Order: sequence, then C-alpha cells, then structure tokens
Amino acid sequence: MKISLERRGAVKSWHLIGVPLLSVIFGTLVGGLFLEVTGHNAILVFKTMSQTSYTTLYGIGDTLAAATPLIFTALAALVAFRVNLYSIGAEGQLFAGGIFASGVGIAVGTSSSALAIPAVLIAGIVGGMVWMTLPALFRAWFGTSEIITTLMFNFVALFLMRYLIYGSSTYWRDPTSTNFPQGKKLDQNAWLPRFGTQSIHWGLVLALVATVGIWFLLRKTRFGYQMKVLGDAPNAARYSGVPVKRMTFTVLIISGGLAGLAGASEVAGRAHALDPNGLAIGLGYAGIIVATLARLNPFGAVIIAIGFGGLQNSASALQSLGTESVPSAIATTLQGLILLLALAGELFVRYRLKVSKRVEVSV
Amino acid sequence: MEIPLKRRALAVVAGVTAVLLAACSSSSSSSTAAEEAAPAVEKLKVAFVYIGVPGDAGWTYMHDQGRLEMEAALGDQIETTAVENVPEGPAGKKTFEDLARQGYKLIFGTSFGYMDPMLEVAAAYPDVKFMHATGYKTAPNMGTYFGAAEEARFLAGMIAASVSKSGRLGYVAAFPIPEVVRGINAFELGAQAINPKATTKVVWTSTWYDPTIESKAAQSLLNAGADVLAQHQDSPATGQAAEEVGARWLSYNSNMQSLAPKAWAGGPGWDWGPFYIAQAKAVIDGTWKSEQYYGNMKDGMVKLFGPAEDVPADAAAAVKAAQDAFIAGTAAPFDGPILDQAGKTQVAQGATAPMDALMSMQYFVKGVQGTIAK
Amino acid sequence: MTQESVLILTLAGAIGTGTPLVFAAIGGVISERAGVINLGMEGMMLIGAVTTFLVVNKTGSPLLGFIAGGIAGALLALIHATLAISLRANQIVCGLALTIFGTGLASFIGKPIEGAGLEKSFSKLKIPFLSDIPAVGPVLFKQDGLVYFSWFVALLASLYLNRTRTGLSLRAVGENPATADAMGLSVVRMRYAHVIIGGLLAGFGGSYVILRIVPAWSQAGTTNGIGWIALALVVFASWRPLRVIGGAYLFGVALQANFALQAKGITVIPAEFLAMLPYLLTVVILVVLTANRRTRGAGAPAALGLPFVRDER
Repeated sequence: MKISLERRGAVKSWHLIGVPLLSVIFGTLVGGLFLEVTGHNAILVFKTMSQTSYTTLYGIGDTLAAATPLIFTALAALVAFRVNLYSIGAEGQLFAGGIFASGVGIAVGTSSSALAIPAVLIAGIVGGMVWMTLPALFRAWFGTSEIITTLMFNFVALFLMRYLIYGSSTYWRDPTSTNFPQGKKLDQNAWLPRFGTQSIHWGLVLALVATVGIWFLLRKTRFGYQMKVLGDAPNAARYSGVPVKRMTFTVLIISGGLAGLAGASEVAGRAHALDPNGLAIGLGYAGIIVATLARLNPFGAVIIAIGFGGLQNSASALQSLGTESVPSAIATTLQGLILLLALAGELFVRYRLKVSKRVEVSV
Repeated sequence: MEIPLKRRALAVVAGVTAVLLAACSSSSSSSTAAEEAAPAVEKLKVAFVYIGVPGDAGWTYMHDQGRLEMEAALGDQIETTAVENVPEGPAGKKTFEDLARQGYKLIFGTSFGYMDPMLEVAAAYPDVKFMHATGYKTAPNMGTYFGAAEEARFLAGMIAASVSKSGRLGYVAAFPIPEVVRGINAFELGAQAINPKATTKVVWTSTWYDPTIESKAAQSLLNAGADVLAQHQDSPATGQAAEEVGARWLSYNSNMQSLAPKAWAGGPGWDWGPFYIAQAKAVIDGTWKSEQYYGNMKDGMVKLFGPAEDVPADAAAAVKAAQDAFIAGTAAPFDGPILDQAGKTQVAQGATAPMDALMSMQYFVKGVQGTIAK
Repeated sequence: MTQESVLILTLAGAIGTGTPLVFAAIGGVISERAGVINLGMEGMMLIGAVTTFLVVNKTGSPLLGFIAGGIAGALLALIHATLAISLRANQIVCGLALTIFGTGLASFIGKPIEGAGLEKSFSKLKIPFLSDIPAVGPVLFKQDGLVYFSWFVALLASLYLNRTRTGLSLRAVGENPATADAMGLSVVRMRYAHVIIGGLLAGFGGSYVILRIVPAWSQAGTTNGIGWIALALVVFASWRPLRVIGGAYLFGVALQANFALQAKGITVIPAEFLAMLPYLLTVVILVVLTANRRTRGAGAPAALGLPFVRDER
C-alpha cells in the first residue's frame, strides 16, 4: 500500500472551519491525555478553564480584554503572511508602540480626551511603523530575510523598554516610585474608556474596527488585489506590473502599525503606563499563532483570539484549584499543542491522502 | 507498513475514550467526596500571590513555608491557595481581582511591585483584607508587613569578613531600591565591625530571580577578586558559582547550606509562619486591623542561618553578641557614626538612623564599591 | 583562588557562556543548510535542559544526562521535521509553535524540581602543557570536557559540510531542492536527517546550560532566550560552523561584559545596551551580506524556509 498526497482542486468550505475546529478538539484530547498521565484531573482542569474564562460575566470580560491585543497582533501577522512575508516582529513593534504611546500619553495626558486619546493611538501606530521601517526597507530593496531582522529587533525593543524603566530614570519612569522602578502613569484623560467596571476597554472596539478595515483592504481595494496576486504567484505579479518592492515595504509597514496599535491599546486601555511586565508576555508571537489558526482570515482571527485569550486567562485560575493545583504552564503547552495539530491538519485542507494499492517492496 | 490504517485509528480513538471515561469517573467521585467532607463552619479562604515559584528555595519558598505553617496550625479553620509567577506592576492586577471574586477574604501579596494593583483592588473589595509585603501604601483593608532584614544582614557581614582572607567582599544585588541598598549597607557595616578595611563590591542584575544572570554576576565578582559573596537574589546560583572556585558565600531567604555546602558560611533569612498565623486568626476573630508591621530578630520574623561550623569561634561569638544586642534593643545596625561613600556623615556619632531614613535609603556607606543608578 | 587577571578570567567565563551557543548554532547551521529554518531552538534547548537535569539526578551520570538532553532535543526536532517536511507546514509558524510547546512542556515537567540542585556534573579539565601557555592557556585550555567536545563538533560539522560528498550534496538540497531531486538525492530523507541532528545539537546546548552554567532547574531562567541568540548566531556566522565558535565567544563576551564592567566599577554603557549588541550586530551582518551583490548568495541557503514538493515545481 502506498500513501501519497495529492493537491485538492478546490478547497471545500467546511474544511476551512472543520480543520481548525478538529485541531482544537484533538489538542484538547491530547492535552487531556497528557494531564491524566501526569496525574492531574483533566476534566476538572478543562471545566475550571472554561468556567473562569467563558461562563461568568467577569470571565468573559477578562477574556475579551486579553483577546484585544491578540486581535491586533494577529492582524499584523496575517497581513504580512498573506504575501509570504514572515514577519515575526509584532512583539518588538508592540513594545515600540507602547513606548511611543506612553511617551506621548505622558506629554499630552493633561489635555482633553478628544485630543489625548487619538494622539496616544497614533503615537502607537507610528512607534510600530518606525520599528518595522529598517526590516521593511532591507527586505524590499536588499532581500534581507525579514524573519531574522524582525526577530532581532524584538530583543532590541525589549531591552530598550527595560532600559527605560529599570535601567535609568528616564521620562518614562515614575519618579515618585523610588522603591521600585515603574512606568509613569498617564493622565486619566489619555486612558481608553472602560465598559463599566469590566476590564474590557475601547481597545476592543478599535480592534474590531481594524479587523473590518483589514478585511476591506484585502477584499475591496486594488491594493488588496495586488497583495493577493503577489501572495499567490510572486513571479506573475512581477511580470504583471505589481510594484513588488513598494508593496513589500508597504505591507510590512502596515503590519508594524497594527502591532504598534496593540501596544498603544495595552498602554492606554489596561496598564495606563509603560509596563514591561504586561507587554513582554509573548503577545506578538501569540498573534502569529492566532493568525495561522484563523487561516489568515481577519474575522477568523477575532474568534481564535477570543479562544486564546481565554486560555491564557484561565492559567492562573488553575493554580488555585487547591489540591488539584496544575502548573500554569499547561496553558502554554496546550497553545503549542493545538497549533502543532492545526499545522498538521492544514495539510488535509490543501491535500488529500491518496492510497494506491500498489505494493512496494521497501518502505 | 501493512497495518490497516482504519484499525489503528480505531485503537487510538478507543484509547482516548477510555482515558476520558476514566477522567469523568474520577472527577465525579472526587467531587462527591468533597461534598461529604464539607464542614458546617465556613472556612476562611486565604490566598498568597507569589512573584516566583515556591521551589526557588528563596523568597517565595519562605513565604510558602509560612503558608504551610499556617495550614498546619489552623487546620480546617482555613483553606489556602497560592498563585505563582504573578508579574509585578499593572499586569498583576487581574490575579488579585480573580482571587477577591473567588471569595478569598485574606490575600497576601509578597512582592513590592504589587503595591498599586493591590491598592486598586482593595478599594473595589472592601470586605477582603489585603496584606502587602515590603510596601508602604495602606488602606482601611490593606496593611503592609516586612522585617528588619538589615539586622541579619549586618551579622552576615560580620561572618563574611571573618571568613574572608582578602577583605574583599562581593554582593550580587537585584534592583537599586532602598530595601536592597539598606541590606548592602548593613552587610558592609557588619563586615567593618570585624575588619575595618573590608570592602563590598556591588553588581546589579535587574532581576529578583534569574539563575543564569545571577551566576554571571557572581562570576564577575569572583573574577574581580572577591573571595566571599553575598546576595540579594532569590536563587542559590551565587553560592554555586562561589563553590566552583572555592570561595565563600552568604545565602539569603532560606537555609541554603545544602545547595553549596563548602561555600556556605551562613545567611540572613525569614520566618513568616507566626505572622501569617496571627493574621489569619485576627481575621477569623474579627480583630484584624490595617497596620504597617515591621518584624525583626526579636519577634523572629528575621533570622540568621548559621554561622557555618568552620567560622572561627571568636567571630561566631561576636556575631552572637551582636545578635543579642539587636534583640535586647541595645544596639541597631545603623548606629552612628556612618559615613557615605563621599565621606559625608549620614548618621552622627551616638545617633541611630530613624525608620524613615531606612525606608528611603539611597546612599552607599563608605567601603561599598558600586553606584546606585539614578 | 587563581592569580589570573580579570580579563583572562572574564574571557574564560565568556567561553563557558558561549558554549551552549556553539552547540545550538551549529545545529542551526546544519538544519538551515538543508533548507529548514528552526525557530523551535529555544524550546528544544529547554526540553534538553530539563531532561538532562532529570536524568542526571536519577542516574548520577552527567554523561548520560548530556546524551539524554540531546535525544530530547532530537525528538522535538522530529516533530518539526514531520510537520515542516512531510506535512509541508509553514516552517516559521511550526518552529514558533515548538518553542511555545517546548517552553510550556519544560516548565510543566520541571515544576516539581524547580529550584532543586543538580547532584553531579562535569568539572574543568586542565589540558597538560597547553594550559600552561600564558593567557591563551587559562582561557582556552582550562575548560570542561564539553567545551572541547563542542570544538570537535564544530570541526566535524565543517569537514562534513565542505569535504564530504553528502555534505556537499546537502548544499543542493538547501539551495535548489528540485535540482537535488533530479540528481537522485532524496530531499525528504536528507532534510529529516539534518533537522534531527540540528535538534540533537540544540538539546546538547540546553544540557550544557544545566550541567555547567546553572546547576539548578528554573523555568524562567534556564535558557534565558539563548535559543534565539543561537538563531542569530547562525546568521552571524554566515552558515559556517567554524565561524560559529568565534561568534559564540564574542556573544559570550557581550553577555558577560555587563557584570565584568560593573565589577570593575566602569559604567560607560547601560547594561541593556550591551545586551542589545549581539542582536544589532546580527542585523548589520545580515544586511551587509545581502546588500552586497557578490555575497548575496554566499550566506543563506536559497531554499531556506520553503517546503519541497516534487510534483509542483
């Protein structure tokens, strides 16, 4: 018996939803198996996870708040990935966005909200774009791998952020907090308003607007059409007059701006200061996972981001399970597992297994 | 490969189903057991929020020991939980909110950076009592607690100077904040009590707990000629680095002797248990009130582990005498005269540094080599 | 205590710091030469480290622990190979997923041993005569056996890639898999083998951290992001194993310099800027390599990151 792969002519629509769904189910099963093997009560763990994140009002609020930055970073990833630009720099661009946004926020916070909030958000976008500029230029004109450059810039941004808060008494650092280095708080006028007492803030609305915006860009504009051509058939694009270098640069810069906006939204909506601990938790990398699971679809990204937000959220609740205390690392392990299975499942969307009866002598 | 795919797939599915069924049955049995055991009196739910993990043998470990002491002492009157790896700053706020919502009525936050988030959550949950270690902000339902580690650090400095051949001591320190600066100064003053020429070289790591970084920092001090190291860090990496080259080491937090037995000479540490028990009792009795508790060697919150057996007897006796004086209240680590690095008098002859000066200390005493980043 | 100068001691320390990078980055070179980029290195190193810890404390044998760490890394690499080669998944995403999975799994497995000490390890070996050479001796020849082993691995890798038939044909696999396929090479088999060897070496890197740098397991700090630095080093060394050694020690100095300078009382550059250096240098090198027309092809394998599908090209 010989098994080979054959490309599917057309991808059936149920595959698009079915495969990610199956990955999540399989990931949960394998994760559950793993929990049982290591002596934990898998059902209780999953029950607690869903209870803390999806069934209570607070839980849903926290989950949506956690999903907000993930939506932005997932959009950042999917825009670039669609044209085969594998930027993994959302992490660093998010830090840069946070640095710019908090910098501007501290400066203009005392003016009216109508001025301060847009200023903070724009600063975040600019910060993310600035951080992407060099990798984008290098990629577009020299062909320098954006994978490596964006990754390297992530670390540079991380250390810059640590320098601003821990390593010096800069403008960003709270001068009144002499006992422990902390970011200076933005004035209340620069905060993104919250929904009641919930932790959800207007960043979520912004993320949804950005989602629609990106969908529109991809589907309804000439630019989006050119992106599709460039993504599907780079050589054909070149010959059909798509300005490849300019497109490459622009797409990467848009991606950077979206990631920067994630940083601004975290600063203005959640932490209200430059908070290295709250930003440096892998939001950028998680965005790539979300985008991939969503098959680079903006609306899919929103749904997956909410799922992942809940997963992250529930990690701390697992620890207070009393005797059943489960290491919070299970959330990370599950994320990785689900993604790995989704990647494997992806194959069956694009290809079909062909089993031929021909018997081979060797394997 | 001739095994039919279908049969294998079936086997896998069967296996998974079996495990799930087992999981279901085990969970249902455990939940009924819990219901049967449900006590008539409502337990006080106590939560601990940790910056690291209890296994670190350091700061978090000692707090968790205190939690376990509390469980042992109060038995079924209380129920405790611990949440670990909670980041400082705004990012930690969610954890405190979660715990308050889950019905925890007494919540201990054991890292300085939890101060503002705890204060915010305390305001939103007035019926929950919050106790914050190492901080200074309070509310009607939020108090602080800490202890005079400087007493034990002074003694550690005495031990260090007595086992040092060169009089060049090294100090691996986390952040340039008053708590750490105070400890370094006390250590140097203690060392000078044995060897007036002793110096302490300081290296900052910008982290409380990162063994790799702590280890590199320790090595650089050893390379620069220090033969005894002390630390304001949570891992034993400094000691392990000292052990490797035959240097000596003063640990911190817990008794870390077993982690670098040849290097270990002693070390300051904590015992949080009695305080935690008293706090829980006060909440149960309804006598709890917000306060700024500052423990010391007298009430046992601050401890000195060691000195190790090979510390010279006369030095050990001097350490013991100084400890007795601290406990009796006849002496304090920051008794004058104390000069800073520039030679300026910070505490006059015959005076003792007052509490607020200790809490905001931002200078190094003469004999410390290093700078406090502004 | 030794009487060596601070500089020599710092350089000797930098070699220790650089050694896990040597292992992991050579692993990266081998895998990338076959056309498969491995962003899962950090995860593989962590899994390698935690496995080494468990095996050493179980068996009392540092050697067994070292080998087991390598095998654990190789197993994770097998997942990478399966997904990226057979299932044609996106290598970038797949590597990231492995790092996330590996980090989570390592902290999960490592939970009970958090902070516990390693019971047994290798110690330093003085090489007779060579270690007596002034300056060079104490820096290079008073290290532990694994440092010498890492040199051997680098040499072996260099000879393999440049002097053997398989090694040379590997280039074709990484540069132009269709041609390699036409030449009768099994692109799939070659890629599998080299990705797994890459994982083995990354696992060794993680093992070295636990055996020689910090003899205690800590989920937060054990590899401390050096898997990513190793990835940078692959580029920094322009995919050449022997250059990896130099680069690794240079990075080692950069990682060590902050504390050495502080201990000397020198505060010229903030620590954070020193820490940025390896990353910035990597970008500069990569840009210079690619911007220059003559060296453009000299660096990265042309088919890096692309899956190979025979009937579609």
